[in-house]
Amino acid sequence: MYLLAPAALRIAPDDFSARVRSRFASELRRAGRFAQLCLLGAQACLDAAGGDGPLGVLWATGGGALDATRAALDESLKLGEPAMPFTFIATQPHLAGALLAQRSHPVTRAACLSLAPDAWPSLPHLAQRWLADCERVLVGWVEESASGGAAHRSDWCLLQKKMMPGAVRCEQVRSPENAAAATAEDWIPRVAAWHGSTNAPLVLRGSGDAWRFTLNG
Amino acid sequence: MTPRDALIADLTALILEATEKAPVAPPLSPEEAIFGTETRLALDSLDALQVSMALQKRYGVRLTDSKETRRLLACVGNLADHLLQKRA
Amino acid sequence: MTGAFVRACALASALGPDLEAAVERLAGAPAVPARNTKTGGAWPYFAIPVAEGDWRRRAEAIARSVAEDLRRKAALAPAQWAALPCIVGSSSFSVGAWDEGGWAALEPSFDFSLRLAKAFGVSGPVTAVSTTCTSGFAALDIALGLIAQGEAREVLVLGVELRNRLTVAGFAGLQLLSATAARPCDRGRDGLVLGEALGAVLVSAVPAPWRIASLAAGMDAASVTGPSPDGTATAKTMRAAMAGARWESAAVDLIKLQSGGGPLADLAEANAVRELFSPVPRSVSLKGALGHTLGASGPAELALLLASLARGRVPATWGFSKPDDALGFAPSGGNAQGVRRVLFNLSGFGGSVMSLALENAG
Repeated sequence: MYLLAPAALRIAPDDFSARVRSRFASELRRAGRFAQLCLLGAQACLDAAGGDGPLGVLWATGGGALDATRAALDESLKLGEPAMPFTFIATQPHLAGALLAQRSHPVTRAACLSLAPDAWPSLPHLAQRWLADCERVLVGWVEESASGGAAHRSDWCLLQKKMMPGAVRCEQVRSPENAAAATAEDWIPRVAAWHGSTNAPLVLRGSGDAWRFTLNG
Repeated sequence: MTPRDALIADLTALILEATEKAPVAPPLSPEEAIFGTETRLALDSLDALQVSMALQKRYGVRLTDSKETRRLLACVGNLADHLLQKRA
Repeated sequence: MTGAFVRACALASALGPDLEAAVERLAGAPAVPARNTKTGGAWPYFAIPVAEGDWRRRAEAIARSVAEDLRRKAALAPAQWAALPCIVGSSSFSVGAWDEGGWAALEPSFDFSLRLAKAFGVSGPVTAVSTTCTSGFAALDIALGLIAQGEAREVLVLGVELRNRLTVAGFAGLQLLSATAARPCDRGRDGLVLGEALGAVLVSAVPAPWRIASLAAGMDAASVTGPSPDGTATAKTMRAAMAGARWESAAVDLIKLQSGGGPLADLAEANAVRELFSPVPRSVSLKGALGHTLGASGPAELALLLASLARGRVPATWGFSKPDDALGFAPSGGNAQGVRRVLFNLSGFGGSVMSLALENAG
């Protein structure tokens, strides 16, 4: 399995709307902040990776669609009073998969997970399994800022079966030596920081196993 | 400005805000169709649900039948006439 | 083809606090859900008959009761049980805690999943997954991966959807609810009725009567709130499930429909079924009896269906009485003799579609 275009996107809350408008114009109206954040990172990764073919989308989050959930609950849910449709839909963290599909990406499946911090290897494991049915899997970690000062985060990479120039080989390692401990939140940023900085492989450890990332060619 | 004109201005703003659409130029005319991919606003059935909920919250009118909703929301003028009739 | 089997199932639902009560109830006369429950407000709502009270304590009590039943049926050694990985699928997790406890009561979906795992007495790795109404099967998919990759021999899969006003308010705003009853496949159907459930499925590499022959996933992005009218994505996913199981369409004995009583969604699924099957095999919907339990519906309906089949019955489709010519077929219950291969459909908004192929090895 090969990895392409790892990138860690950080967006200050005050800049968020402008970033969405400049990238997607009004296409992402009614998506809610979480799905917009997913798409900003996922689209940037796809733009950098290129390619086509059936695509799975798999991402993890700690807090999920915080902004939409707050808004929906703030709409004073009196008994039986309906919620605003856009707000309710945006509470579902899984929405980004369908929105990517609507942007003409051949998405065949999508899922949004929440994991223990050291369980991040579940993501490449699951992606590897999905690659039996699709050619590429976008893998991400997305977190809305929970407080004013912190940045929104949308980290993504593309995993695929096919080797390409510049692609990183990813292999599971059962008994890692010199593996650095990584978390669900930081493994993609660490791969992104390593990518292109050295020829030595990067080995990251989680619960149970580790993954080795090696530059090809 | 007649009460109908004022209501049309309010409704236009409400529809744009509820559906998160940017204003179009030149501005919408009261008789201009707003639903369907061939229209400038290009609203769809999900937008219709959002607009009907926004109308319920602002004006207390309930539009629960989807065919009736679609007919009333054909253009802003139609909707204004319906609300004025309800008030009368 | 997978090498995974359904070792045991348990369920808390509107039909009863445990699976046996539910199957017993399902064999009797249909019961219309109560209106004006606290959660449902003006809408009918299929509530689990467990006393109201503190939301979180109630959730834990429901989980402990389902766990006890599952544990007894699974008959694993205590150490094996305690080490089980737990995958939790839901569209709402603990958002219902807000109804009574406000912001302070909300917890992240992972923390709530840990709470459920603890109530089940398992301490293996926990994963939470959300794909709206297919969440329970997205959890099953992750479990099948763990078994296929040799990471685990048994995995606990939970589908959970517990009472909360947000979901009712959201579906009401989308005008998807019926004001009276869920009537799957019926000419007079006019919407869904929501419900709560905790479905538990213990998946195992050890052979058991029902083998999971294949689980296929698809994406229907025609609209974020409903399927494409022609049912294309559903048909494609069902076809993939049958291909994965190496079945011809004539091999299917029973289709468990997604059908919840939505006028257009039921029609879209029927279009998909008719495209693949001629003649259409027997079919059943369980949403007239359980309600639409959203993220719980996969494990919950799987538990109920397999328990009914074990008693020799294909359940009747509650709420169905008058066939709809536009669908072109009608669900039918009765004797389950000869039902060996079941195709099991789920779909949800956000475009997720899943289809499970189940085979009885006898």
